[in-house]
Amino acid sequence: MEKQNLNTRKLTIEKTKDSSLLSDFSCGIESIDDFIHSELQSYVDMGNCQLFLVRENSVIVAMYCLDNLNLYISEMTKSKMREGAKPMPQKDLDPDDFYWLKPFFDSVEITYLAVDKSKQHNHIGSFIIEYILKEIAADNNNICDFVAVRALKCNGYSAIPFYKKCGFYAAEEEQAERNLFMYRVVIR
Amino acid sequence: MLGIDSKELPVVKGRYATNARKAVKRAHTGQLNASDKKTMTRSAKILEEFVVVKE
Repeated sequence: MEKQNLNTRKLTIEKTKDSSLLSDFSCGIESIDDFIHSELQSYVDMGNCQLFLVRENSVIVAMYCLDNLNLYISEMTKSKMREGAKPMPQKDLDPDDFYWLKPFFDSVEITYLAVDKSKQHNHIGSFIIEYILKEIAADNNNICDFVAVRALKCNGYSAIPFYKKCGFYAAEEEQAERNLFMYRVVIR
Repeated sequence: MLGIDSKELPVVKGRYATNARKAVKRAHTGQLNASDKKTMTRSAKILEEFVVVKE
């Protein structure tokens, strides 16, 4: 039995198809809150994503959605991977390997991730990302090499610094006021 | 679909952190730069802050 830190916080994660449970949830970013409260349910109903709620002491502190994605990785990014300047999948890959000819790569996309305003800056968002990566790495049925996000940029807000801090790298060239696809390699 | 549905015992803190460090060392020796190492160290620390119980 491993030692447990007394300060360790206990979270529960549940999968749901009912976004109305988020009626009191607010991350403080208007566009995201509007989406969660008005459009998210239809996305879930259409099977466009799987919705997960994160609770602490029965209170919803965060939500996230996952989906499968064919991640586009630009030639420049692939070149940097081959040079070792950006992380690449753990495969015995030759620089000229067929693997690199693909424009798209199987990935799990974190389509939405939001932490309640009152619980931000508590590492919950970072933890969710690490948790997702850990779960995918442990899933023998999942062979994807990447976890991807489309980091939001709007109205002066940018999620890119957060994802960079969480170890994500740009999968394409960054452009002003445009969402940026970023990736992290799944380590198995 | 994503392997996140299955019920299992609570994730024990620290175990993944150790495995992650070993995996990084094993798989990326010579390829990780300082920034990557910092990220992995941070990841391990973050994972130790919470325990997840699936419902």
